[in-house]
Formats: sequence, C-alpha cells, structure tokens
Amino acid sequence: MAITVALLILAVPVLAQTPELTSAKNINKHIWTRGAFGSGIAISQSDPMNFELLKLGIAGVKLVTEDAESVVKTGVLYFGEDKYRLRDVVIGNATASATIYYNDTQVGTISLDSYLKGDREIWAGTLTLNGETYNAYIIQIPKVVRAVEKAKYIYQYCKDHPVICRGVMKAVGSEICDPEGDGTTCLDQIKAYCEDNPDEARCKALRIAYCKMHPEDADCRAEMTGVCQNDNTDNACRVLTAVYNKNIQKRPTVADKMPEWFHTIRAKIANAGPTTAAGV
Amino acid sequence: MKTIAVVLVLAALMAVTAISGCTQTDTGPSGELTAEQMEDEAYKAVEQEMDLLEDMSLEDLENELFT
Repeated sequence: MAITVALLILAVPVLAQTPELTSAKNINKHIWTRGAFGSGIAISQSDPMNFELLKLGIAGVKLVTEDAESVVKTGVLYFGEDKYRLRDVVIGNATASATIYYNDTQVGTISLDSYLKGDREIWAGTLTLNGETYNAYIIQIPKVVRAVEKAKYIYQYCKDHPVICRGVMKAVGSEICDPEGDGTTCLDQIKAYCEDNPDEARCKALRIAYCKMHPEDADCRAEMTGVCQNDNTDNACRVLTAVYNKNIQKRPTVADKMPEWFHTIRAKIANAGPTTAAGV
Repeated sequence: MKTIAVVLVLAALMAVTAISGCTQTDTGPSGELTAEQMEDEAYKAVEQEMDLLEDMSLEDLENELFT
C-alpha cells in the first residue's frame, strides 16, 4: 500500500513538468511587421572605393504560445560574409534603426529611412561598424505575401475593430458576416473566405483598412503603393504620402524621383492647409 | 501508518523541489518564455526569412523587381 501511494505521488512532479516543457517548445512564430528587408551596398564616407555588400533583415516577429502572444523586434545584418545580430530595433513609419552586435559585443549602429523610386522602396541611411561610417543603401525585396498571411491581418483588424470591420465590408458590398454579433465564428469565417478569395473587393478593402493603421509595415506600404498607382483618390494614398513626406523633409532632393501620385497628393495636402494635413 | 506518513511527506517535498526547479530552469515563473528565449526565437524567424530570400533564383528576383 505504502509503495503504491509513494509511486503515485512521485509521478506527480513528472506529470506536472510535462506541460511546462511542452508549452515552452510549442511556439508559433511568424514575421508580423516587416521593416527593412533586402540587399544593398555600404560605401565608406571617408573612402568611396571602400564598399561592401549588405544583406539586411529587420522585422517584428509575432510569437504565440499557449498562454500568451507578443511581438519581438530583431534583425540580422550581413556585411560581406560577416554576420551580425541586431538589437534595440526600432521600426517606425518608413524608418528603421538598430544597434549591431557581434558575439554579444556592440560593434555599431544602423539607421535607415525609406523612399520610393517608382514603385520600389529603397532604404538609405548610415551604418557605423567597427569605427567606420558608411552610407548604406538597401533595395527592399517585396515579399510575395500569401493569401493565408493576408487573411491573418484581416482577422486581427476585425478582431480589434469589429464595428469598423463590418462598415468596411458594407461599403464595398454586403458583409461576409457580423464580426460584432457573431464573434469568433465570424472572424474565422472572414479569415477562411479571404484566404480563398484574396482579391475579392471586401477582402481587399479590409486589408487596406488594416494597412492604413499600420504604415510601419513595409508589406502594408507595398500594398498601399499598389493601390495608389491605380487610384490616387484612395485615403490610403494620403496615409502613405504623410509617411514618406516626413523622410522627404529630411532629404528634399529625393522628392524629385518620387512617383507622380505622391506629388499630386502632397500638393493637395499642402493646399488644404495645416488642419487637414495634420488629420492625414 | 507512520511509514505511509513519512513517504507522503518525502514525496511531497520532492514534488515541490522538482516543479520549482523545472520552471526556473526552462521557462519563466509561470511557464512562459523568458525575454532572452523570445529574442532568440524571433531572431531565428528572421534568419529563416532571410534564407528564403537567399533561395530565390536570380530569375525570381528579376521578376520580383522588374515586373
């Protein structure tokens, strides 16, 4: 009897440990906010012939465990063949900065602003590494965002703003379902529908609605740029113009090469005066 | 009876020790990831994403950039 009881009790800690260890390993992670992501070149400010190839990835990664979810910002930098880890990452609206580490030792910093050249996003700024300062240029590689990933944004948007979500759907057609009344069931339904029909008007409208609230995400800026090339009256173009305008004010000469729709909206905002411009 | 009581007390003590040791070593106090573990996991995700870019052929890249 005593032995049986003892064995049962001894099993308790083993059983208790298992979920803890499992939950630590069951991590669902995916890129949530894309900052600078691409390849480019660094040119020394003191010697223009001292240059090096760059590869850069800066992102906010969403980590989901059984108990919690959070977004952690981090990054990877290749300077030639050397690989560095980025910490203290800040992803702003068309801006990105970080400190550079090699084996837990800080060896530099990077600070970039993004600009549009045609429909391409180009990052430009300063890289300081091992005491040398470079001008850095990165060509953003557009991610081919799959329908499943796009639908995740829509799910999040409708979860956070069920009433507006319903309104956006109704504005371009009928609602798929009522996210406020039907709750999670409807959210799953919208997600499944938009995975299967990513180009349907309601799904596109919901995605753009999400992106207008998240211009810090390069994928969202790319999505909105696509809209503005075809229709510069969409409110997304005002959001995008306001974002890039801040970088243009730092480097006015870059404005010449910005796309036509940008200049059109920029002029409209300027003509409308400070009140409307601030409300963009 | 005394034997059972002693075994119960010893087993309970071992259980408490084992559980607290497990959570402190492998995860945070309530089983969640530590800040360092989260940063490592996020870093791996960005590395994987960069590998995907690396795997793109030049032709894919040209299509991405110029079409």
